[in-house]
Amino acid sequence: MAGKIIADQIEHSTAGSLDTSYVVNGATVCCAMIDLPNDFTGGANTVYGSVNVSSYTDSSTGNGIAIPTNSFSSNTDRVVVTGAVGSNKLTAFVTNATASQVKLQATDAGTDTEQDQVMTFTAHGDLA
Amino acid sequence: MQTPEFKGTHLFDRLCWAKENLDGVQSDYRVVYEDSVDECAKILVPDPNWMACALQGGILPPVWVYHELAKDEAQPDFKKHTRGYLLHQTEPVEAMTEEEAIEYLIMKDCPQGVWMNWDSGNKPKMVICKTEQLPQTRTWRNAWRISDELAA
Repeated sequence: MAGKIIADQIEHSTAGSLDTSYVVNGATVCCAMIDLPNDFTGGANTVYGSVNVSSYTDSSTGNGIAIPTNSFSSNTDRVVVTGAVGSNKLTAFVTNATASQVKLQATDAGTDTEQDQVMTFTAHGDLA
Repeated sequence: MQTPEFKGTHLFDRLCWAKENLDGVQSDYRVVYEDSVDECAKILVPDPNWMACALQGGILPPVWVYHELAKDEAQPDFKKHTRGYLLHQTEPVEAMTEEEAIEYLIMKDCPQGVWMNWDSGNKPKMVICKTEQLPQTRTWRNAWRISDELAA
């Protein structure tokens, strides 16, 4: 049954209490895993496990843009955490993205060259 | 499954409902477009959870809402969205077919300069295709272009 709990704090029996604003403000508001090279065999550029993403644009080797369905409130009021699947790989958040984009770039950590690979990201912050 | 009455509900809450209640739909459609003569073709891939929302109806806002927000973002003094309420308070759109959803997505996520003038040059700037029509290997990904044989 749907319901709502309105609370400003939650308290553990021994570990103390915490404002629920930490939960609200720290929650993931946009995330996805994008399989550029088809490592998971669902097809190149398949998007998995996404929340609040309308599309992914494959811009070139190792580069792409995830576009949120609910835009961020600004270009800066967000934190994007990126990850790569596989050793010696990196995914970077490209900083010239607008409030309605998450620009990603995947590189090989050894050679620093752009490379197709599985990219993951989560974004936290304010939505429009 | 019936979509709840979502008018006035925050868009993110509507997306969370969809994530919990609808199965993702992996579309076979891809949108190939070129927005710069100096860059390779770009491939737009619909998100499966978004596609499920589009097919379900009653969740996504009308596409004009995104155009209004894009106008705000394009202002040189843009700092922060002040009209986000358009996403949440505008009545959601009805269920779409997969083809209609792709058209909506083009107008939402492709640059306007591409979809508004897609057939105004020597060849189309944008093509909707199926996954199997794309090159099967990404070896020369940065050289991909829309074929000249598709002259408008």
